[in-house]
Amino acid sequence: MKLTIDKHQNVTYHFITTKQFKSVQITLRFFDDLDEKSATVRHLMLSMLKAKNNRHKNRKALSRRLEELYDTSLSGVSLKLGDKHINQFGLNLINPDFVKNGRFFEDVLEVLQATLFDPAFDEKTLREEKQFLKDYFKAEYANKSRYAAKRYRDQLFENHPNRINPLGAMEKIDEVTMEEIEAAYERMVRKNPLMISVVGDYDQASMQERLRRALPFETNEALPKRFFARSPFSEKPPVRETMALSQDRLFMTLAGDIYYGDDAYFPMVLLAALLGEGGDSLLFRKVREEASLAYYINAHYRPFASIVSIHSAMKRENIDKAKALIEETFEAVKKGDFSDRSLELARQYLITSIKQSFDSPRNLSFIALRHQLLSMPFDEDYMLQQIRDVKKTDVVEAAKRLRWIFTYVLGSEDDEKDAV
Amino acid sequence: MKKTQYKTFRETVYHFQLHGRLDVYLIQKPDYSKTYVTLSAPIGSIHRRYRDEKGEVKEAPSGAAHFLEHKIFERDGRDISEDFSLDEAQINAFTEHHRTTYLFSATNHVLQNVERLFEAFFFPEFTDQGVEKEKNIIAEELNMHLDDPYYEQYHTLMRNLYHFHPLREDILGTKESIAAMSTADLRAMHKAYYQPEKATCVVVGDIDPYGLQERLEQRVKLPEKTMFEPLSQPLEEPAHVKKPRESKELDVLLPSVLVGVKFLPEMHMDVKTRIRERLSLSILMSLLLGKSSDVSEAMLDAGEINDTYGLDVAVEDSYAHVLIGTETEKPEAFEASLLEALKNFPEATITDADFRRIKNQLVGSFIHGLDSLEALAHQFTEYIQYDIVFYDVVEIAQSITKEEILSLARRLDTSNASRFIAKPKKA
Repeated sequence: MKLTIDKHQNVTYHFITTKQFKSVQITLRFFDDLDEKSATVRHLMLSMLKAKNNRHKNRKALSRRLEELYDTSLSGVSLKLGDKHINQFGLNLINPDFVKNGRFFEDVLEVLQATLFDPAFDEKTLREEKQFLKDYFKAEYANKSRYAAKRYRDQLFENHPNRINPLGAMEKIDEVTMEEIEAAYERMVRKNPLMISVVGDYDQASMQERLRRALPFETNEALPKRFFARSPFSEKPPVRETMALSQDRLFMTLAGDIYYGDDAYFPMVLLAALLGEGGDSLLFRKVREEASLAYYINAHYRPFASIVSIHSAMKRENIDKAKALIEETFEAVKKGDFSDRSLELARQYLITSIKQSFDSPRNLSFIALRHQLLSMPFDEDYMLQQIRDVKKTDVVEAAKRLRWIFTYVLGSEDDEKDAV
Repeated sequence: MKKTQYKTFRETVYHFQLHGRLDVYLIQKPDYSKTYVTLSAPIGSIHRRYRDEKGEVKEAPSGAAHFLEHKIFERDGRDISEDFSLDEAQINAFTEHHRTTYLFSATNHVLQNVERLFEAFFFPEFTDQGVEKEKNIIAEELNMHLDDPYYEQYHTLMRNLYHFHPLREDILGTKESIAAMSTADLRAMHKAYYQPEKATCVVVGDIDPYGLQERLEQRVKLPEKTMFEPLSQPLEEPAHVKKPRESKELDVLLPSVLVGVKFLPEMHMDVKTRIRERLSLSILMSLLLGKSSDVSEAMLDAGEINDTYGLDVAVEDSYAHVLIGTETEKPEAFEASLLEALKNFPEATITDADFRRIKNQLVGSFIHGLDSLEALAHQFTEYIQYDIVFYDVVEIAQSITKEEILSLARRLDTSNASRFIAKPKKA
């Protein structure tokens, strides 16, 4: 496996060549600042681009063309990285060597070219995409775990860039005009910093030449240097909201001052794994396996906000017991009161996950992005060594820099259906 | 050891029978860091009956297959997942309607982890205390699903499509059946269904096949043959549905509709024919109702579907159905358009070009699937139970004729359809 970085007209190309895969994945990422209104506009614009274009006049025509091209998939998703918004387009095609038609790769590139350079923006498609986006936000309510996570984030990240959904906001959808869509499109293709990655088994020189020809970006700005601001969190009073539920959803939050790339970054990663990643973590053992209080419990470190969120679900009458167990477990970690075996299990969990991440085209593309933008080497051995070098005392010191700041419960109402 | 090369796809599959009893397949994947291993037993939520060593027919509580799945990795009151983790393997398991699969992905010590998986699978140690403790955990898993309106939608539709079929039951069981589960039930179900002759192991990764075989032959013990026997449910499922329509107010903001069309697979149909029928039905549904179809375009233009619109085809030994669903403000109009499209399917609209296009799509989708070790292992297991190697499926699909598709379309009977609408609660 080899990563080659190339820059052409300010566009950064990552060529990752490997014989592992039978598909080739091309990813384009356009970066911009993140705010609620522009996220909504950019997401709608991206959705319109992947719906149809002037060469494939409607959704059906585009879908049929992609089916014809051996199930090539054209995806468009809105993401965020720290306080940046990313419009990401993906093209996943089978390796052209499988196809007898020598024009196959050119045909696929034509679809990408039409998507990006020959848009067919019209009111009907805008109306449809607005409706889809509204429906998406409404559906968040139906899935109670997702809804609880959203309510938790809304309150925890009030006035913080992390609050912004890269898909935008429900209340901004109706305001979006066709002029804004067109302006956002122009800005994206002409100004937005752009990174293109290609993962698969191909000839790099030929790929480089074909992509430059098919995608003539000329005036895009250079990639941003800064991706997040250090904005500390203050303590908030706990919140309990209610609705008709069989099970309460519990979120507990630790905040600190260790951000992505800091000296204590890897100890924090190991600390989160020790607490609640995987079936051997301390919280899984204590809350699920020993106390039988919950089906799942996990801890998640957000390195751009320096937050560790702990999430679980259980009967209402067990919430206090679970909270006490979680707090007790964390206090023990702060005192170094956990076994070497537990730490080794967390370390092995991360080592296995890092190694596995190099087997996925999507992850490889992201690892290359991280290498470029966040100075994390594109090197499995480097990451493994960082994890191996973390000592128990480093984990304890990282834990001491965290404090409880917020607890959120989406709970069942009184006299609601009895939980099991 | 049998070695088969699939040159078109540049893949190699090895097969051997461990101790002449258990089929092990290795799909070689050069350059991958991880190895993905599955070990499956033909027991799912639809299986509850067995014959014990005295020849008596018994039935375990509903949810037994799933409960077993929770307890297989326990030994001496300890969860052995730790042993896998320390050897760079992450384990998991899942229960479907017709199968239970245990799996791990490992980046080191693969052979040791395979041995460990066999040991756990064939020689679990159930304790009363462990079973009792697990009841609360499974009850919380069920509670999590009970808060999901789409889960309720799916299960209600199954109960409305089928009169007697055990598909009507939740994979997890019920609050009552979970509480009633005993260690004896689990032991008996394990004896009946976890037999080497009926299990399948699939290894996908960069592994030496001969080293794998040698190690397993030397180190893995298989259980002795047992008098316990799995029994299928006696079924007299009628062709018509139990209840054609149901609506219910659930905690959603947007109505959601799910339509099921039931087929009865012809009994005693040979497995090859069944697979052909499954593939034909998938092709038919893609052509007729897929996202690139005229029908889907018309429904989108009429505001009857949104981008959640999708369909799923299931054809198994004892059941077959198509499910089509969407979130929509116009659930009744969606149902009417859909049933009309199925009923008055204009055969002339399917052209040879459409047919070629869908076949291209099938080939592409197959090749894409080879990059996911997980998907490959599961698909391989799915087909090998019918003695079909997954790599031959594309050829079978390619040989399906337009006439076969059209004749299948003529068998679609919309009077065997049921629909469920989840409606928002009134303010």
